[in-house]
Amino acid sequence: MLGGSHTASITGVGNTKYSKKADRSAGLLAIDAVMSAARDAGIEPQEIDGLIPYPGHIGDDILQAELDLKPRFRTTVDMGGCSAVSALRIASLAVASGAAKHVLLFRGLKGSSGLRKADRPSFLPGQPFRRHLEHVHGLNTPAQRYALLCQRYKHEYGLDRRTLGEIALAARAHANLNPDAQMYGRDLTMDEYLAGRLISDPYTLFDCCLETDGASAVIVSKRNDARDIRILSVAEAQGVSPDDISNREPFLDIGLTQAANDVWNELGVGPNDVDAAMIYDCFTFEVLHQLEEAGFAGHGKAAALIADGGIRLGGKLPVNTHGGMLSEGHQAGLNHVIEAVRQLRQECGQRQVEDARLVAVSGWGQLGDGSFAVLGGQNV
Amino acid sequence: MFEPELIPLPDLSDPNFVPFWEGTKEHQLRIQQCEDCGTHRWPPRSTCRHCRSTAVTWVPVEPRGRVYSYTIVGRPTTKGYANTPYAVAIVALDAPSNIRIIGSVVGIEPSQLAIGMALEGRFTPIGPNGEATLMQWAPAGAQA
Repeated sequence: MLGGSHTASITGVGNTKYSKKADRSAGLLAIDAVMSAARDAGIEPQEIDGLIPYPGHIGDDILQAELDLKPRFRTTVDMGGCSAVSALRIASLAVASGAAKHVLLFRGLKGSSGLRKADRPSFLPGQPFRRHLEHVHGLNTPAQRYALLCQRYKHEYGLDRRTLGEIALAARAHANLNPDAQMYGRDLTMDEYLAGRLISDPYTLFDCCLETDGASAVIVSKRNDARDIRILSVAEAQGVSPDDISNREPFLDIGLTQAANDVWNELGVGPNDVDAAMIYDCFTFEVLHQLEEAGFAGHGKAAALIADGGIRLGGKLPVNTHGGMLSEGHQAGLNHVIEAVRQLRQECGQRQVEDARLVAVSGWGQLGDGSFAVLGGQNV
Repeated sequence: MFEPELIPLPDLSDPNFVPFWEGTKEHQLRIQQCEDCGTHRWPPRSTCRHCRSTAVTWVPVEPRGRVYSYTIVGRPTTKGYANTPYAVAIVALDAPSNIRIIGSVVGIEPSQLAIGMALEGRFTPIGPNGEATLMQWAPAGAQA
């Protein structure tokens, strides 16, 4: 039986529909997702005794007050987009140690109709570098920073726009099988992708993830009931100089490289053994980059995996079968964890990966922080 | 192409950056060098990663280098940069070659920029009263 050092399971998942404009407050969205997750786990909300809110979103104080929760364990994980998968690790450690029985990871935000990304405070490390060396040059968004990585990759290995386009189109095709997705019912063609307006070269509109109103919740417990999904192994790491990419060497180094390696080594399985991968997709290139750094393709080789439907349902490695942040919604990767769980429970209907037994989940945050997990059912 | 007076000034009294901004005012690019092992470093830090020394000096370097990576920004996101498209590059200095400096690029159509292109520093006053001087990049040898 597979299994690393972690003995925790994901016992419940829940989410709202994801949209451009929700008709409820962020607090109500979060409560909806949390109640769904508790029902899904078969526990009363009051049994939740550990809380990991997402920084900058609905706080745990609201949930505690509204749902009368009495947490014995609470913390936040401040690693941007890799916080969700990193929080799986903290939650695993918490339940394994007895610090808590049921740890709730949640987020809720009106990230589209409320304050949008550019208007919310930045949690990026190295703020003095940002203010003195970057903002003064008109460089201040994630799209712009990651575009610098993409452009260099393109120079070193070559990269066709249609390869990035296929990442966007695959995400959209998957979202069209997912009624909760923000982009459900909205097709995207390669011509539309190619005509997308310039955001920050090489990124155009459809290379960028959505901004979303919605909430998501995941419960981690020390329990191994038939329906519980085991966190077989989870790791996190940061790239060289996590507060600066300009002088990072190697330039394309990211935390995931180490984190994924740690997971493969701990489990004794490799990239060819997983049935699907949920890859943090803030932008299209970050999917390609992470596929390589996690070992699903060699350096400079991911385009071949992505071509010919390789990352679509039915392909060699189905990626982001929910539509990801590119087309399901921006839930900072908590939705990737939720989708992995549903795939492993065979609950995904039209978008089910047949006989999914092992699913990988990645997180990407800040200036290249990385986290990685492999999840599996009770029978692996 | 950009509005230098609108660029939000950082805290120019931040001790980690005072020598840098004093340098640009004199049209010099100054970076850090470890006093003990001689390693150049950027962005400015307290400690040398090679020898852990905290003894540091600031040295002027030639503001010349080649485009290491770049992006062309298509929609305005920062004060002072309302006119798009504009380009921002990471430039690897000719010497010391382990140092890369970020900067917006002037004097060239953004679409003409390419990795490997030779650039040199251009110094421009920024802020409502020209309180600071910004070093941007421009094609080497072009007229200012």
